[in-house]
Amino acid sequence: MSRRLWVVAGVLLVMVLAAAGTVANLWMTRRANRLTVAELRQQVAALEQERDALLARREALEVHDRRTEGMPETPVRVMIPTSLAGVLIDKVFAGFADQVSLRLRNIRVAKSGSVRRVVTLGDYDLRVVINEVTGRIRTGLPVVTFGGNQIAFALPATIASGTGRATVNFTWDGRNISGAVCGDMQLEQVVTGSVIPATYQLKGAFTLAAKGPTVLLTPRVPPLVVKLKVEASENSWAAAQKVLDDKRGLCGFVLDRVDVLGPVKGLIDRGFDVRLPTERLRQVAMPVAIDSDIDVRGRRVALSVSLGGLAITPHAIWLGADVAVAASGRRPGS
Amino acid sequence: MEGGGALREQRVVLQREVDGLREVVARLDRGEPLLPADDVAVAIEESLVREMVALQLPFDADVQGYHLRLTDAEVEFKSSPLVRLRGVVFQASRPTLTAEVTATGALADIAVDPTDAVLRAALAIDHISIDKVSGLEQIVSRVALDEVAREIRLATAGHLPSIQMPIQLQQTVEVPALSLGPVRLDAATMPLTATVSRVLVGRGRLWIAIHIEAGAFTRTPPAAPAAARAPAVTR
Repeated sequence: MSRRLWVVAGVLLVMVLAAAGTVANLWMTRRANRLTVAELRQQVAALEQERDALLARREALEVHDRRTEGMPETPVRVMIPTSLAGVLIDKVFAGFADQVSLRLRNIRVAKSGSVRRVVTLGDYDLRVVINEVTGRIRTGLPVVTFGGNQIAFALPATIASGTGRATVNFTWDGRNISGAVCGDMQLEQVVTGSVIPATYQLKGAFTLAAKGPTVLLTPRVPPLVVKLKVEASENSWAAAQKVLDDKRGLCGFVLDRVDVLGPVKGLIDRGFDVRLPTERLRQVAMPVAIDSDIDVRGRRVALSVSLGGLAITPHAIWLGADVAVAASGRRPGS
Repeated sequence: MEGGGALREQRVVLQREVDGLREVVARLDRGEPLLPADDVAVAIEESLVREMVALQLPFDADVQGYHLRLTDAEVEFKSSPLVRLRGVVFQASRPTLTAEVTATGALADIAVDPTDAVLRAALAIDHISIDKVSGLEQIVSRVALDEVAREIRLATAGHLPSIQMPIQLQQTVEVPALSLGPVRLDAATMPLTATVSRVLVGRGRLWIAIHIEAGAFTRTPPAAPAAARAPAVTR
């Protein structure tokens, strides 16, 4: 036999011995792991003893969790602690801070009449169009309280900034009377200003409502009327006054009787009552829902879901549901 | 080794119970609540979970010349999320010689599936016993059947279907754009990340605690400008 063959035979022998050793080791390990019935009984008894002791200790240590108050007696129960719900609500409200805008357009006020000095000298027509008032609402930190099956909130909402623009249009139709001194006249002037900040409390509550398998937070917020006040800029007033002053002279008595800027000022000073239609706010889905169907190896199986036991306590929001596999989803004979 | 099968099954069941209870008691000893204070908790009764498991059956597998068919489920939530699957096993070449098989294990790896945000659980099998052999014992020894049971347990590990719980978690809070009279509000979204933080079992219920982390509230760019609507103004 050549030397090369001896080497190959030697390597093969080592490999066979190693494999045999591994098999023997595995066999011995398995053998060692095979406990006798008596040993198994001993282990089971020890585990039972420990389990019972642990159960007793658990009973003794368990304290009443106030979050369980209001827990429904349904096969599926979902509990959202109010600590978490409060954080989410705060975050949503904070996200809206400075995001809400108000925009009023084309508010019209008109006044017309005649100016007499023994006889009617002419007719005037004063039209004021608030072309646009825009404002931005900044929300503050809400005060949120849970309990009585509702989430009540009070949210400070400040009309923080904004601008307004109005067009004043004055038309004078002088009667062509002998000796009349003020003929026809047409004035148009734009007045601008800025919104005066004001804070309001938006108060309302959310209640729970079931819609199919989904639980919705339904807002109940009474409509809020805010007064949007605009302060006309000094420059605007000055410019408007200058236009009127330029028309004085022969028409001075007309302008004095009509008081063109008075109604404009009155209109702006009273402010604008804006009704925020908060009662039309939409429902919001809860972050946890009960599924009405589930995946069973690639096919959807319908579940019959009946929501119930909805509750909001100071410590938790509870959703309960009776869930069962719908008749159509059951296997024959099950 | 005759008679050891039942004891082995009992031992694995007890071991899971004891492991779970040790964890619970340790937490209570530290003064912590059973469920995390700020996490969502979902409780599901064992009868419903049994239905969910049963929906996934029958389960068939071929292992080293044997065919396994699991057809029935039993679920028990005392101190561990115990699951027993029952069925038959037979040699593929002799389908008339069957034995009853019981796979004992538990719901495991309960997690929120990131793809569809539903709760899913795996079935972990700790022990398989082959009993009530009808004919199969004439050709296969008890020791060989134990070995078959072990092989089946190893071969089916990770292949049993996952169980979907009927709970859906939102992945985002979506606030649609709002245009109520004079009020305008842009659409915004806030992502939510849900992860299972704790699993507890007791009094016939499975409790799953879910930690929810809210992301940044992001404004969605406004779409094409809508036609201006008449303002709701009162004077």
